[in-house]
Amino acid sequence: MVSAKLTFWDTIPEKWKTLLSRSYRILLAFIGAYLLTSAFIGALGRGLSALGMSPGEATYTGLLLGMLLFCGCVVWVAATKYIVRLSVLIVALTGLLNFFISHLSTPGA
Amino acid sequence: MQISREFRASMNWLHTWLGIALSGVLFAIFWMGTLTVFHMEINRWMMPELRGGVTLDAPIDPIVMPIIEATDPETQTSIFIRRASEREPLVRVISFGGGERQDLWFEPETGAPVERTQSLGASGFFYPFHYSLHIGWLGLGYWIVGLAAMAMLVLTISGIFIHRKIFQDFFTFRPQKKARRSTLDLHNLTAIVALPFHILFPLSGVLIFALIYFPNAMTQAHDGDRRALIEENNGFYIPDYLGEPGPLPSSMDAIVARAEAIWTERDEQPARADGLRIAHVGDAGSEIMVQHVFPERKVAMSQGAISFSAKTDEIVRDFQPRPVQNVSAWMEGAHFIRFDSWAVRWLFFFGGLAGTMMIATGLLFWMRARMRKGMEPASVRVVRALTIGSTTGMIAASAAFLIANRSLTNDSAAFGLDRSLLEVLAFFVVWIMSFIHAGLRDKYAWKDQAGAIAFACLAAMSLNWATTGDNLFVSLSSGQWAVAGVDLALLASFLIAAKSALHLARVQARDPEFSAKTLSRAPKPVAAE
Repeated sequence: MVSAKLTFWDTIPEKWKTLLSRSYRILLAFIGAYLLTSAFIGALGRGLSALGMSPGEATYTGLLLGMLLFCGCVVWVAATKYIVRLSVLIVALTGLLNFFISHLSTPGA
Repeated sequence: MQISREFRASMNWLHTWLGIALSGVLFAIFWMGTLTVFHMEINRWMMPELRGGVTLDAPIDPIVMPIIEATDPETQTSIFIRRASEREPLVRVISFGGGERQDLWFEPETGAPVERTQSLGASGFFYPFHYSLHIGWLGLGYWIVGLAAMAMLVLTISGIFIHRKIFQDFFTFRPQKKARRSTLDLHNLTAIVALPFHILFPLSGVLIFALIYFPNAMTQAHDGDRRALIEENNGFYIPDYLGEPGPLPSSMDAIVARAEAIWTERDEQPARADGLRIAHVGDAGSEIMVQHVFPERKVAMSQGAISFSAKTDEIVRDFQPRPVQNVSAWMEGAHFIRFDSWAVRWLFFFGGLAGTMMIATGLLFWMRARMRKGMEPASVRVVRALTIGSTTGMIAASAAFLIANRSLTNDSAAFGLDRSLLEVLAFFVVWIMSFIHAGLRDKYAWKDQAGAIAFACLAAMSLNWATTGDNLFVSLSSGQWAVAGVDLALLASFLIAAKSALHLARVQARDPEFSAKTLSRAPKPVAAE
C-alpha cells in the first residue's frame, strides 16, 4: 500500500486554490499583456520607422495592433491549460522585443 | 466554429471576475461619459450667461488685439483663443505666462467681457471625471480609467464568447419572468444592441491617452521626444522662446481667413477654424497656430493646424494627417463627438445609457445569483450597498451637483471653499452618503434612492426656473434647445425614478420578507449562462 504524503498545497481548501489560481491568471493576464503590448508598440514603432514609415505612423500602427494583442493575450492567459509555459513565453517575448528596441534598430535609419 | 465547453467556462469566470472587480468604476465612467455627450448643453443650463444667441462670423480682433498689445514679451505668455460656436456662444481667451493663468469670456458681437458663473460646469466636472475620476495624485485616476477601459474590451470579447445564442438574445427580453432571468435578458439585450459602442469607446479612450498609458513605447520611434510625436500626430508645435523682441501680429482675423481658405480649397467644402494659439507673444520667435481640431462635416479630428510666423505672416508649418493617423483620428473623433450631427450625438447618448444599464444589470444578476447560491447575509449586504451606491448613488450625486449649482451664488463660500468647489463637495457628500445609506437600509435602499433621485431631478428643474425664469415652456418657446433638453432629461429621469420607487414600494408592501425568503432558500447550482 502506498502512503500518500500531504504537501502544503493539498492542505489548502479547493475554494482558496481556485481563488489563488484565478487571481494569478488575472494578474499575469493584465501585467503580462501590458508589458508585452508596450514592448510590441515600441518595437513596431522603431522597426517600421527604420523601414521607412514615418515615426508617427509607425507608432500608431503599433498602437492599433497592440490593442488587439492585449485583448488576445488576456483571453489566452484566461483560457490556457499551460499557464506556466505561457508565462515563460510572455516574459521571453517581452524581453526579446525590448532587446530589439534597445539594440537592433535606430529610429528613422 | 465550435467553441469548447472549457473555453466558454474560462471566459465565463474571466467575465465575472473582471466585471465584479471593476463594474463600480465602469458605471461611473459610462455615466459621466454619457453626460459628457451633452457637456456644452449642460454648461448652458448651469451657466445662464451662455444662454444667449450665437454670432459665428463676428471678428475676433477687437477682443484679442488689446490683450496681445498689453502683454509683456518677457513673461513668455501664450494665448489660446477658442472661437464662439453654435454649442458654445462666447469667445474664450486663456493666457498663460509669468506664472499666471487668466481665463476670460467675451460676447462675440460686442466684444464685451462676460461675468462668469463661478462653476466648473459639466465641462469642468463631468467631462474630466470620465477620464480621470478627479484623482490627480500621480495620475492615478487616468490609470484606473485606463485599466477599466482595457478590462471593458476584454469583458466585451469574453461576453461574446459566453453567448451561445447571440442572435436570439438580441430579440429576447422577458420582463414577466422572474427578476433574475429578466435582469440577465436586459443585460444581454443592452450589451448586444450597443455592442459597437462598447468596443469603440474604451478602444478610442485608450488611444486618446496612449501617451499616458504607454509613455515609453509611444515615443520609441521619436527617440523619447514627446513633443515630436505630438507635433507629427496632430500638428501642435511649441516654438522656442528666443528672448528677443519681435513685432506683434497685425490681425488675427486675416490669419484665420487665410488658414480657412487653404482648408476649404483642400477639402472642397467650407472649413471653419475652431481655435488659435499665439505662442510667446511679442518674442522674435512668436508663432500663431490656427487649429482645425473638430471639423464640422468629418468624424476624424485633428484635420489641420497651420502655423504662421508673427514676424513675417508667412506659413511656417502646415499639418496634414497621414493615413494611419487618420484611422486613429477617426476613432478619437468618434469618441469626442464634436462633428455636426445631432442624430448621431443622441445615438451615442443612448449607446452610453445602454452601457450603464448593461453594467448595472450585470451587477444585479451576479448579486441575485450569489443570493440564490446561499451567500452569507452579511456579504449580500456589503455587495448590495456597493452596488446601490455605485449606481443609484452616482445618479443622485450628479443631480445634487446640479441642485448645488442652481442654489449657490458666486459669492457663496464655506469651509474655505469657493462656489465651484462647494458644488463638487455636494456631489461627493451625496455619493458617499448613498453608500452609507445603502449599508444601513439594505434592501429598502433601492426604493429610497430612486425616490431621492426623483425628488432631486424635480428640485433641479424647479431651481432652474426660480433662479433664471426659464421654465420648460419658456425655453421651448424661445428656442433654447440646450436648456429645454436638460430640463426634459431631468423630467424624464424624475418620471422613471418616481415610477421605480412606487413600484418597489408596492412590491415590498406586498411581500416585505422577500429578501429574507430568498436568502433562506437551499443552495441550487446555477448553470453557466
